[in-house]
Amino acid sequence: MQKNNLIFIITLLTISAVAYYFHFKSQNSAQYEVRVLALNKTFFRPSSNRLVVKGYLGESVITWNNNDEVRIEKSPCPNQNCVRMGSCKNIPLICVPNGIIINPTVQNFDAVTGQ
Amino acid sequence: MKKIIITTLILLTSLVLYLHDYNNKPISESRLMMDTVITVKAWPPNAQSAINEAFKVFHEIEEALSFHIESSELSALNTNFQATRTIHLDNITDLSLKYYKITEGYFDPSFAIVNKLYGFYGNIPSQLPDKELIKDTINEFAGLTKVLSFDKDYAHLKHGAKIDFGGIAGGYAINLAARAMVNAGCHTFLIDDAGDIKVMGTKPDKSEWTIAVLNPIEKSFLATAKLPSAMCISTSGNYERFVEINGIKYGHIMNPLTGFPAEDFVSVSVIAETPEEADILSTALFAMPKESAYKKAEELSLAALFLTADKKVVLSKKGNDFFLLNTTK
Repeated sequence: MQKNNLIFIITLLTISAVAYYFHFKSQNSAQYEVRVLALNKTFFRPSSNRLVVKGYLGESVITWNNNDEVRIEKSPCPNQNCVRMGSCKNIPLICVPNGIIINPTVQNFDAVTGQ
Repeated sequence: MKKIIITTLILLTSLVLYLHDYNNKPISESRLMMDTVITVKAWPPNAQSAINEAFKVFHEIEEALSFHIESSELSALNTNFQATRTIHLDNITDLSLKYYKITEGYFDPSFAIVNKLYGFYGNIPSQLPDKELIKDTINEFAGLTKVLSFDKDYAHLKHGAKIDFGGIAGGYAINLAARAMVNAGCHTFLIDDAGDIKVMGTKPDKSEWTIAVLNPIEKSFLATAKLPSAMCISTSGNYERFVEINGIKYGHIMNPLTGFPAEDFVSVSVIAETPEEADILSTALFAMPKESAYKKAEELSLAALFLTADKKVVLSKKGNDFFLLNTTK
């Protein structure tokens, strides 16, 4: 095999490997998926660590702290159970009345029971 | 020429790998139904059409068996004390009567009448009912076999009684939804009705189905459960549905012998072969006093995980085969 061909093949394989690395890394990266059922939309943690999403009843404010804990800071729901849950890490937060689901995608679980 | 062939081969290999990965990805959909969030996750083939079929089933069950929808078959029974026998009403009352006996009355959908006294249905402001009123109400209107009867065409409910299938409807719907998904040609999926979960099939990466059990007090994971295909898990607790009276929280699962909220456990998780069984038995064990619950779990050979009110974690004998306790805090 000629030297040029060898370099060409190695380059192609390297590009493929790097592409696959980033592809899988993006799939497994630590982030929180915020689903808003009312709007059928999915959001992710913004760099500002503060996300305002509109649900069935109105706007919910979701914030992250420096320890990667997430909480629902404000919610238009009547019972405020989601706000009372406080800050959580690695467990889902759900506000049924406003249709907000905050789901950590970093975990190695298929589902959670006992929410 | 050689370069073109090699480039084509590498690109084709990449494409095949990408498509393989793409075709093995699950689709997940959540909807607000039956007063909670229902999530269905399915793997190809036929994932989307199977998910649609599953949600159709949930909608159908909600329309038939909801306590809150005025046009439901259950509302007809609760309002008119008589309702035409339908397949869903028959199925769910059969199951309820079966487990009412198995659990010695600790699973009792007719206990809705006592929950109503506390203001759980929004009919009255939350209040602590008088002990005599609770006792009289139980004697008069509680006990499924006492208040429910059937003739050829109708189900009859004792005048003044109320039934709520909230402790079984989710499990019943999951079972029917799972059948609908299989009939739609999907054989790998997970159905999650607010923590009542059924798993089916083998995931493309062959990994085990792993369900986390939440510790609602410490907001961490209590344990993980490894579920074989077609198995179900359900967790009952009083931390989610409660009324607050004078700053004290009263949970919705009552001890049917006392008429007061069950308070020996924070949560009870049960793994079973059917979602109805998991749903009902987690509720019934939660309602029992501790020793009775442990005894019943062994008697029925259940895989059960108990988190007691004094924060102790107890596993049934069979529970050791399925639950792996989280030792990290």
